[in-house]
Amino acid sequence: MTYEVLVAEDNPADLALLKEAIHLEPVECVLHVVRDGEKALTFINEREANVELPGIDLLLLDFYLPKLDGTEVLFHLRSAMRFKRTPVILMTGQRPKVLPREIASESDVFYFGKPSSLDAFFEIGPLVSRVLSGSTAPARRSLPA
Amino acid sequence: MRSLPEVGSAQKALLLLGSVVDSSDDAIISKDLDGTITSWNKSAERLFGYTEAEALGRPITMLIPEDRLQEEPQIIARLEKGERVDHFETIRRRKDGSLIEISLTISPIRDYEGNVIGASKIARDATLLKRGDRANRLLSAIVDSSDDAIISKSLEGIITSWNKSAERLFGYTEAEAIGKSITMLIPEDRLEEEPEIIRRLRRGERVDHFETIRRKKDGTLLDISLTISPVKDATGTVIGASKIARDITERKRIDAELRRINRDLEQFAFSASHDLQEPLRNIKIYSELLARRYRQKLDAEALEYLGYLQTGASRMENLVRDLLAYTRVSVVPQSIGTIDANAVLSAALESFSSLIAETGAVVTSDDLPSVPMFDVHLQQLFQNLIGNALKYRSKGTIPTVHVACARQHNCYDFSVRDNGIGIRAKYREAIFAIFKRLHNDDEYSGTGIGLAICQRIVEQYDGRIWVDSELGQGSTFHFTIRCGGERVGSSERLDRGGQPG
Repeated sequence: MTYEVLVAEDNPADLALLKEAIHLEPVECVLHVVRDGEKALTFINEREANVELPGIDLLLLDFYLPKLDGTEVLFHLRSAMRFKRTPVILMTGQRPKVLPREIASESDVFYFGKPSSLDAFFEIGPLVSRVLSGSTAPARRSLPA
Repeated sequence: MRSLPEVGSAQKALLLLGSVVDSSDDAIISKDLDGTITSWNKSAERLFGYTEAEALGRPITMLIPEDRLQEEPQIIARLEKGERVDHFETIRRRKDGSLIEISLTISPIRDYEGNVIGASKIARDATLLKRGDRANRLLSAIVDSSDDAIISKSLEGIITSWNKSAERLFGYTEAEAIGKSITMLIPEDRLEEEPEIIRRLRRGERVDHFETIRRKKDGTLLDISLTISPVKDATGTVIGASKIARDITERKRIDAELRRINRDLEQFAFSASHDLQEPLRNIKIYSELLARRYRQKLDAEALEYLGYLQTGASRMENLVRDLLAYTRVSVVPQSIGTIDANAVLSAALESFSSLIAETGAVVTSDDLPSVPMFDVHLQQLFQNLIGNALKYRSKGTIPTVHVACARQHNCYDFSVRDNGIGIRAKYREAIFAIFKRLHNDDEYSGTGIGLAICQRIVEQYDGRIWVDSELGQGSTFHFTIRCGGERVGSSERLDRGGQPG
C-alpha cells in the first residue's frame, strides 16, 4: 500500500536528506511537504474536512518551524478527530516539556534529534519505515545528543 | 519640761545630719565668708586628698587652680546677695596637684538673724558624669548623621526616638513620629510581621537584615533592610527595640537589572549556540556526502579543501557544544541534595575508557566525600580536569592521574594531579579565561572553554579553582566547594532542561 506522509520541514538541506533516506526504504509513500506551521495546519484541516481524501499515516514534524512551531502543529493535529492516533516523528533531541502526555503519548510520538553525521541522519529512513508498518517497538529510540 | 525632749531631738537631728554628711558620696564642705574652710567631710578627703585636719582653717583657694582664682570672689558676691550656685561645673586642684572636674552646688549659711555668715559647698566628681555625657553626645551625633534610619520603639510598638535619616527615609518629622505606633510604616499586607518581630525581641533575639517593604508618609512603598535589636534595662529585661532601616530600593533595582541582563545574555548565548548548530549540521553532512559520493570526481586539491571544510565544521561544532555547556552552568536547581563524589567520578571516567585503554593511563582516587552539588556539575568538573590530564600527557610516559579531596574548615578541596606536560607559571591564571588556549589544534585539539566552564561551575558553589604546576613537572588542579549552609549567588532558576533540540 501507499502511505500518506506529511513532512513539515523548513530547511531544504534537511528536507533533501529526509527524502533520500525515506526513498531508500522499501515502503511506498507519498510525501506532502509543507515549509511552515501554518501550511501544516491548512493541510491537516483539508484532510480532516474531506473524508474523501486519504488520511495522514505519519507526520514528520520539525520542532522549529516558521509561523507556528511543532507544539502548535501537534496540538492542532490531536484536536482533529481523524488524527487522534496518527503517529508523529518529532524531529528534536528530546521530548519538549510543553507537551502533555495525552498529546504526545509514548506509543504515538517518536523523537529524532537531527544528528550531524551522514550515517546517523540516514537512520530516519528505517524509523519511518518501522513506524509506517506498525512494527516499531514503543520504546523510545536512544537519541544522539 | 517640754524643752528636754526638744533638745534631745535637736541633738538627734544634728547627729543624723552629721552621719548623712559623712556618708555622702559628695564632698560637703563649709566655709566662712573669708573663704576659710570650717568643715570637711569624708568624701572631701577622698575627692581632694586633704584630711579634715589638713583642711580645716585653710583657705578654700588652696583647691582652686591659678587660672580660676577669679571664680571665688564671684561666688562670694553671689552668696552675699543670698543666691545659691547650682551645678556650677569647674575644675579644682587636689592635694597631689592633679586637676579634677567637679560640679559645685553652693548655698549660703545664715545666722539666726538671716545674715549670710558662710557657705556650704557640695562638690561632685564630674569626671564620670562628663564621660557619660560625652559618650551620649557622640552617640547622638552618630545617630543623627547616619544614612540609615535609626528608630527606637517600646515593646508596645510606640516610637520613642527618630533620627534625621528616618525623617528623610519615611517622610515623617521627629515630632510627627514620636509617640505614634510603628505600624504606621507597615503596609496592610505586612502587618503580621510586627507581632512576630516583637515575639522575637521579647525572647531577646535580634532580627538581622530582614528585607521587607515599608510605607512612607506619602504612601509610596520602600524596599528596606531592617536590623532590630532588643533594648534591655539594667536588670536585663527587654523594654523596647532599636531598629536600623536601610533603603535598599536602589540595590534591589540594580539586582533585578543585573538578573535581567544576565538572563538575556544567557538566553542569547543559548539561542545563538543552538541556532548555530543547524547550519553547522548541514555543512558537516553535506561535506561528508560530497566526500563520499564525489570522491572519484574530485582531484587531490579539491579533496584537501573538502578536508579543511570538514575539520573546520567539526571544530565549530565542538565550540558550539562547549559554549552551550558554558551557558548552561548557571542552571542551578534550587535545592541541592548531597551526591557521592565517588559515583560521579566513576561516571565521568566511563567517557574516557577508550582513551585510558589506548594510553595505558592509570587513574586513581582516594575515598571521596559526599558533597552538596548538582551531579552534572561535579561530573563536568571531573570530565574537564581528567580529560585535560589525559590530553596534555607527557610523551613516552604512562599518564597517571590521581583524584583526592581534603575537607577544609568550610569547604571541600578537590584535587586532580597528573604527571603531564605542566604549565608555565605565567599562564597559570590565563588558562581559566574563556577561549584561552596555549596550543594549536595540531598539537592538542580543544575549544578553550573547558576550564572556563569549570571556573563558572565552581563559582556557583562559592569555590575557587587554581593550578599548581611547573612546566614538565605535571599539574595539580584544585577546586573548592563550599560545604554547609545555604548556597548564595544566583537563586533564580533558569529552567532549560526541557528545551528541545
